[in-house]
Amino acid sequence: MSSLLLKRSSLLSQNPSLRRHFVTYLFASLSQPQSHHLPPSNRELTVPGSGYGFLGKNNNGSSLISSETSICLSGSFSGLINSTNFRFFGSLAAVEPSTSDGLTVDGIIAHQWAILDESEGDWKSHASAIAQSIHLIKKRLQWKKLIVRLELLSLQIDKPDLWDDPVRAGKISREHGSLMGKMKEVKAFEQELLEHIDMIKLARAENDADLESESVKALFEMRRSAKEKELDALLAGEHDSCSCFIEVQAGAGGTESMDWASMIMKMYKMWAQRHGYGVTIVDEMPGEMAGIKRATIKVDGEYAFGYAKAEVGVHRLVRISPFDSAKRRHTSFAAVAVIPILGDTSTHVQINESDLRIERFRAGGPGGQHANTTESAVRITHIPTGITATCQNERSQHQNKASAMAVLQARLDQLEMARQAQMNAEHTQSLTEISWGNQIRTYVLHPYRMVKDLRTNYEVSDPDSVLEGDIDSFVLTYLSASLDKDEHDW
Amino acid sequence: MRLGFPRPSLSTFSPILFHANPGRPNTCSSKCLIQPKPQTPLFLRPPTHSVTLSELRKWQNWAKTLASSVGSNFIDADNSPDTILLHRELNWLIEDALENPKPLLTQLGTDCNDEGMVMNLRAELGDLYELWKRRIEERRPFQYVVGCEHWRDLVLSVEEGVLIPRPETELIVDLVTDLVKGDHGELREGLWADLGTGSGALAIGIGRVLGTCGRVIATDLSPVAVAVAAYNVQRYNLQNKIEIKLGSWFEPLKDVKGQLVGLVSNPPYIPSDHISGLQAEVAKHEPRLALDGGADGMDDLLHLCHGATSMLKPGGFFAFETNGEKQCKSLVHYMQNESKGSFCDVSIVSDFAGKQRFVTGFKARPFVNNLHTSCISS
Repeated sequence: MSSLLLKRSSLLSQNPSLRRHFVTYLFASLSQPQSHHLPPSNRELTVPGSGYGFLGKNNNGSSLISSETSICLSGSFSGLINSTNFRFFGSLAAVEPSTSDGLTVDGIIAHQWAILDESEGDWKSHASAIAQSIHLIKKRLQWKKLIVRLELLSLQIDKPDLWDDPVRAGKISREHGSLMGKMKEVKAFEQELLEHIDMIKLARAENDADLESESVKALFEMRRSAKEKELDALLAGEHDSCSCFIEVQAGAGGTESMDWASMIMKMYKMWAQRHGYGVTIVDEMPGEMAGIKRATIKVDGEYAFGYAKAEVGVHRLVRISPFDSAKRRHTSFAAVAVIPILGDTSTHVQINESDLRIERFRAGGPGGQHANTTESAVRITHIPTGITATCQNERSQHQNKASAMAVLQARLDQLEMARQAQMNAEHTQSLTEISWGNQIRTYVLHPYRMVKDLRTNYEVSDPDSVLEGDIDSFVLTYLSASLDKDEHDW
Repeated sequence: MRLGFPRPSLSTFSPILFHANPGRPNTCSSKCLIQPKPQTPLFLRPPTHSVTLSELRKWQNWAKTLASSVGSNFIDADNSPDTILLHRELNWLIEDALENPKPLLTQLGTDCNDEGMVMNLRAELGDLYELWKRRIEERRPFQYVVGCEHWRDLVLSVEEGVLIPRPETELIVDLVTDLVKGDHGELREGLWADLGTGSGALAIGIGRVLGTCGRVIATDLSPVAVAVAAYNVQRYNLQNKIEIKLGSWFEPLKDVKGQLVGLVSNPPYIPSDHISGLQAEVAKHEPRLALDGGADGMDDLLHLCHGATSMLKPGGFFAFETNGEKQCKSLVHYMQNESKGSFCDVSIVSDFAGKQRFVTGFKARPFVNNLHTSCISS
């Protein structure tokens, strides 16, 4: 297996253009090997999810350069291992799948067959596009690490004393199942591609036009679903599918900053509503004149955390402040934190009641029958860590307490994840990205109009639509950039 | 209580703007022989009134402006709601009054095409104007405006004549829950009493944590409270577990003397001469009967304390809400001296604001009588 992996990476290193494209195209919908033939201006047009129509029109014919047999990585296996008898054995016997004449997915990529417009119906073009997708998906799933992790988990699962600790065993078998599922899905997709290629070759040999067009059509369908799988692979993180809390905190600078914080919060509320997520305000501290000092919302729905985690950091606004009578230009900051709400309660940090201090927040006067207020805000402090959570938007103290507890639980869970990540180096990278303090995006309303992400350099010139919640392109650019950047690290 | 002019539009429901005399505490008159019919909370009324979104927005903007005009004037006057809180209440009123409140409450609702959309309301638009005006100008409590109070995980019907249950009181249910789920599991299956139940809040909260054999008797002197409590008990389908009785304190419990395993109460505890100085929502609108605890506010607490000695089984638990530290201490003092040996494990429990709020303890068992001095000091 290792030798195969070696071959695969050596293939990549032999192919600088291939490599460059993985880096260049942040959206990486498909990194077209041919696109370097294009004038640079055309490259800028690449838009996530737009397909490859314009490329195809400019590049027909270039597929002729490659020969099917020039690279045959796993030729020795040909015939022995064909599509039908490939199996996953418990120990992950990874044998590179190939067509009957030894063509592998990497082989297809190495051919650099031109990727034409979907409608062109050329099988090599489809195959090449699909192979590129598979390559990208594997990278996003951190394929090598996935294999190592799976082997580790398999070893643990095989231990007879596994179920002595049922909680841990459950965790391990769940993770194993989930990773196995991901791997099988990609493998099956790979296999399907190679089977269709086999069928096409067979059909050609037998002059069966029906069979050939059927198989080409199947490849075309695969090419479409490959795009979806690429997106899915962006959100393959352990907690990506969770709901989450989004917190916004105004920076220094008084009313102008607080107004900015409320604009940011509104942006997320609108983004979440567009996606059909449930939005609940958990905690909101309004500013004296306008805006908010801080606020927490709960975003309920699948993959809310997976997307929203891309928003963590400091957001900067430059504009003429409506709160400045002298009409000067101001720069304000708002910090955003995103906390996953772990669905699996067995992974929650245990909280001891005795470690909690629960206080009526903003309570004054003698209380009880003296006062009739609908304000029943509660603040909970976890004494050992000093972490607090507040909720005042529910209609009863009991519910405020329950909501605040949920926030506290999520914060403690996140703290625990960070602690474990420090012990478990492989998770460190993703978690350092979920932290405060780093400026991630600038919104300029004056003297020109632009929103620019400082991590990806992605920018748009329409701040209004962004502030109305149209942040998906920023999120996807960042997610693909952060997953696709390390060529050697997958 | 149905003093309003019947409106055909509300058919089976009594008018939401019924004109109970807010200044009049619900003292018993000859009318009390007729069982009062409780009001249906706004959120449970059928959404039979239609109005366009743009008309509704007009009302919402008007209501917001009215709430903003308050600023912090109220707070300065008597520690009552500020604009932020009133805006939050307005959103809750929208939640309760609209079948689909989303367009008014979410940020996406700015689409101009929707302005003609027909919205279904649980009250006439005119009533909503009137309700909110009375909230701001007359300081009518929000809970009376919408006819309900969210308390713990319950939504309880309330109306003029019934004390609106307070957040502090929620803690009594927590205390009982901890008790019956902890070392005192035997109390789960016994008979409990909630005296001066008002809306039935404590009785229902406790009824829901008791076991299959656990029962609660709730009493109140006010026929309106009895009717409202019975309505709330029905809404939570606890009529087999909770019995509501009309009468003063222990009077309706004569036949269960010495059989109670638990006794809870949030009796009137405000000293009489403080009543007029209370926040307008309380002083002008809530029933004096449920607030006025006599000269030092202790009349009813002492009565309860006295009654508890004979009504509770040995080992039975009690929890009383008080006005604060002073009353807590004097109640504990009373138990240590006047009713020496009757109680043990007497303690003062603070609410979430850090105010000493509750006095709890157990009826002494005969064999611990000799130890009462050590018990009581805890």
